[in-house]
Amino acid sequence: MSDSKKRSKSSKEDAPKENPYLAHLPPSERLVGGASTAKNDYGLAANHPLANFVIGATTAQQGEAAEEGEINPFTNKPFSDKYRKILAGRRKLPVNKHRKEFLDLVQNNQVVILVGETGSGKTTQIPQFMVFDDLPAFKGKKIACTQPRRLAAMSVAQRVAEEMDVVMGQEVGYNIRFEDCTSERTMLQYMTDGMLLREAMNDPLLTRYSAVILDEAHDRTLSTDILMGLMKEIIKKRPDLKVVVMSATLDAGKFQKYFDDAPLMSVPGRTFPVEIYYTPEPESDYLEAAIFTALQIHRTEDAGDILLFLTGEEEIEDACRKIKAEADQMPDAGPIRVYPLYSSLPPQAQKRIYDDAPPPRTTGGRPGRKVVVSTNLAETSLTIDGIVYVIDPGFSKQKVYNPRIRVESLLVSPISKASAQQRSGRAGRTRPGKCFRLYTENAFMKELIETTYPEILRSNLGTVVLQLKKLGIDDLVHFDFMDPPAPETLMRALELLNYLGALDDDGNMTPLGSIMADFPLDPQLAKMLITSPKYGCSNEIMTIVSLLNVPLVFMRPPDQRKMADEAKAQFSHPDGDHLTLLNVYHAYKTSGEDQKWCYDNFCNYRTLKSADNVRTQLKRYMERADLDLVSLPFDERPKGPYYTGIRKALCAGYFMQVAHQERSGNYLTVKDNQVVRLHPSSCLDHASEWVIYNEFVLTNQNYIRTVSEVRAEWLLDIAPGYFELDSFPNCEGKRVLEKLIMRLKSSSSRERDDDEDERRKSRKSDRGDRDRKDSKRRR
Amino acid sequence: MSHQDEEEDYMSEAFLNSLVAEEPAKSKSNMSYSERRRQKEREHLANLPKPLHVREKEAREQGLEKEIGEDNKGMAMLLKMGFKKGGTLGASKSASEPTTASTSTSPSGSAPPSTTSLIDTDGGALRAPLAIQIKQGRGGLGMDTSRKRQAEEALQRQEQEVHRVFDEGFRGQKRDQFELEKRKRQLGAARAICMRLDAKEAESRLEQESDEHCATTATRTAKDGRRSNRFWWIDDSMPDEVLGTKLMGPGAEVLVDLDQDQDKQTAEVRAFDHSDDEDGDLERNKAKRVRLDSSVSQEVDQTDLQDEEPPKWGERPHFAQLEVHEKLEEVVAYLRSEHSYCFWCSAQYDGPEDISENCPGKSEDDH
Repeated sequence: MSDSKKRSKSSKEDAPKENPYLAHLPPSERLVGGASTAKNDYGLAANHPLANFVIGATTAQQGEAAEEGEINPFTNKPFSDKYRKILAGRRKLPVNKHRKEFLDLVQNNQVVILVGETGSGKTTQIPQFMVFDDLPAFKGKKIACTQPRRLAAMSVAQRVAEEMDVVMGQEVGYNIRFEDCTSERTMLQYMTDGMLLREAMNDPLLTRYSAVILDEAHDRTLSTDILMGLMKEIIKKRPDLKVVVMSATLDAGKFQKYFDDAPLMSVPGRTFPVEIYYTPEPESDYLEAAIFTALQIHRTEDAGDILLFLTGEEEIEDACRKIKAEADQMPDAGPIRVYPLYSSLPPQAQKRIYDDAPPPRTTGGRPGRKVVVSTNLAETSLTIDGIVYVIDPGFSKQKVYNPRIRVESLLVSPISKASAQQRSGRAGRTRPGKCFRLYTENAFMKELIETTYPEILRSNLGTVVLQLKKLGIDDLVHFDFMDPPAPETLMRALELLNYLGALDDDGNMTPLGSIMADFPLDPQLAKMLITSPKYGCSNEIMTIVSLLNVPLVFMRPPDQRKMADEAKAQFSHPDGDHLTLLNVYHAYKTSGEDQKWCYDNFCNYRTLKSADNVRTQLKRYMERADLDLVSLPFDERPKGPYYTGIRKALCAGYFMQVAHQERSGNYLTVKDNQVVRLHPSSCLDHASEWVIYNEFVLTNQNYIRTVSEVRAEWLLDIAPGYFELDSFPNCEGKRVLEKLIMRLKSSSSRERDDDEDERRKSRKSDRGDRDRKDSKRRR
Repeated sequence: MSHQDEEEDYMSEAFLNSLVAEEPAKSKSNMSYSERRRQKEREHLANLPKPLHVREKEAREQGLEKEIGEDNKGMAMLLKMGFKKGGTLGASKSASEPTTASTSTSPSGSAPPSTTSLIDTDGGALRAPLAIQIKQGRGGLGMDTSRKRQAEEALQRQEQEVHRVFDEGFRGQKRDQFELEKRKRQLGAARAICMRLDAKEAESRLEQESDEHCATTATRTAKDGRRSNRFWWIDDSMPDEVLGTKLMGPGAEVLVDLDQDQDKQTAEVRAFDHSDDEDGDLERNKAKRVRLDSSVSQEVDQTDLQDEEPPKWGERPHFAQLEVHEKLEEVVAYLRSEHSYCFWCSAQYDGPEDISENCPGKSEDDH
């Protein structure tokens, strides 16, 4: 804002000099030869590399000249040799040829759609083109480039920092949830799309940014979709904001239409033809077929690395082992190296996929080969050079959500045609390649959907709705979604937020909702954290919440399962998995955050460390929201007030995820009446009548995961609205609650806790009676 | 109106209720046994506790089918926000763009069949949540559908096979059965004729040689009888009238150990008493008489036959093992050669010359 003021002032000074080609711009931006202005405004000396740059009106040559100069214009330090070496490589990237074209488009349009295949260099280069044209550093603004994945945001930022010869975290930085690696000097910021959305909540017009680049838009993540909708609103109010939407696939026409026919620029990648092979018959076991195909290629095909797509960690590790073992047995084949790739793999292990293939055993012998076995991570977001053969079984793990039974799970599903094409394209990066599709051509034509359903259609929208409300978007019904979700999904989100107290009955945000939205957490967890001081256990809940926000802490290597389970048993709390997590964290802290301790106890050090980091962040949020950080005096009795308080606080967040144990032994989810069982990993050691669960997972069986025992009294006490029995379908749980309500009404509330055990006993015998009666009747 | 007191007004509720109450009882009594049995079985199965995974699946499918109703708080909130029931979300403007990923995808194979119908065709917006498909096992892409197709084909083939077998088998069986019955009847008749003729011949011979010694006569009779007695051997397939007549055949007694088997024989005869064959009774009476007559010569016969090794009871001679139509052929041939009787002409000729001249032929088809 200050910038535009400055400029309008300067335009008055040099009033007559307007560039006729810039007539579409606001008057303040139509100036010719703004060099002197720039110098004046930004305080640059005449010999500064950027001295003659006009914001939003630079040329490709100017930019290149600045990049090839002696002095780094942003740090005023001489460029390093390493920089020059990298620069030579950058000039060869396909996108480099289109610098002029891109600048023309972006200078003349507010929104530009850019299609560039993976490996064209768009993610690293386009933001730099923008930096040299938009010069955010001299306007006190930043350029944001969003990435769907945290890891990508970090690694790309690192790469670009090197390319620009700056220190990471200074001029170039990244900002992901629970990790902000930026400074005041930052002009180019890579960030997850979710993070930008979060920033928009407190800065609805994104005034800190002069340009926003939405990368990997083809991924259609939940946050990118919402951001795009938001951008449509923001650009109306901020004509100076530039938006670039970048996609790797060719269905960019949809983006173009969505942004009111924004110009489209496409950068062809360096691609070679790929031959596609289908199987004549459907495979009876795609994993076996994939392994067999990989070995077949290794034995018979020319040099070139193999990329095999599978669905999940377990499958990938399994395939890696088998391929390695079999290939080593082959006397006539060259050496082989097999690398897994999936998102939960530590970064060091992930980087190994870039290693070169092993050399032949003897000079002139069969070539060595690298095999990468990956999830769809390698489909668009990572580029591995040297891949010549791609094996595609046609499946990937995809998130699904169904509001009717409130289940959100990862399920192995057929990929889309667009995905299949993307996968085969991976084979033609360095030379003509081959793609082996482990399905028939008929299956490709008839069974695959055109494009993968965007995440917004497959997700729980609780967080999104809270964010949109916080963003001030009240009309959720007519929000301009690129692909509107099912109405029932929105209903569930509203219902959840209403019961949690974040929205009132008219759908307006409550003060509590506003605080909840500030926490980068699921609404349930945010609510839990915010109410935890009331139960005197905010420190503990903070720990539990951070552990729920990182991958699983417990490791269970396939060959040491028993030992791992024994190690886990030392932490397990009889009343549930949440308290077990707390125990692990305490033990980890007691050990002095020792890596060896983690290794010995089958805990993931990296995860615990990042959980600790998350906890530190959450603490800051708590302090900002002026919430007390308290603990009850420790009491090791499992049913003591210390643990009971924590469990009550858990209830406050998760009262909508409750299951009741039936007489038959299985659990029924409350209200939805879904038959579920405890996940085998649960350490709940006794039959608990009522449990809260973190996740309802759908595999071949229905599981509830991360479970803790609670008491019906607490549920009625904490969420009387939700446990309104009129809205309950007929089930055992309802009858139990009815009885309980009657009893609570009749007996006074005093001595309730003392009675508890006795009552439970009586309930048990009651149950026994019923059982006996029942069996009699059956007889 | 006195009749109103007797009968309920047909407009009244009581009348309707009585109808309703009557109906199930009526229908139950109308049910056939197997219908009732099936219903019982169904009820039994429904009452059995189902395995967990089945209940899981059922509950899931039921849950996925059931739309969130208006009693849901979220629904109420959404309606307040201006949502219209049965509508979709999204900017109204987007309704003019039918080209979305979702509309163009109408996967015919494994993908949820309901997806297409759930998607609003003009806006590309979802009306209902995407269906959930749980993949079982590691079957390759297209395997499930091809398996389904194969299973369907197999089922179809099986159905066709059943139809074919039913068509051909049933009719064929009926035809064969009919044929068999006919042959049995013919065999019975042929045997009866045979016995009558044999008996007649034996009688005339007795009259002729009345002065000769009784024992030799009996022996002769037995010997004559032996030529044909094999036709009268008791046999499962034998119709009762034949069974009855069998006992009167000369020599038959010789082969039967009367002391032990008489009771059995009569029991069998009695067992066949319910037969509605009128001739049978006649013949049987005759048979009893003849047996009584011939029992006189019993002892002699037995001694005489000892060296001939009579086949024992239960040990079936050659004749009994033949098929019905073969038996018939043999009997017919015997009648022809011994009595110059053509079974098909139903006439006795005067001698071998006469029969070869005047009878059209040996088989049924010749006639």
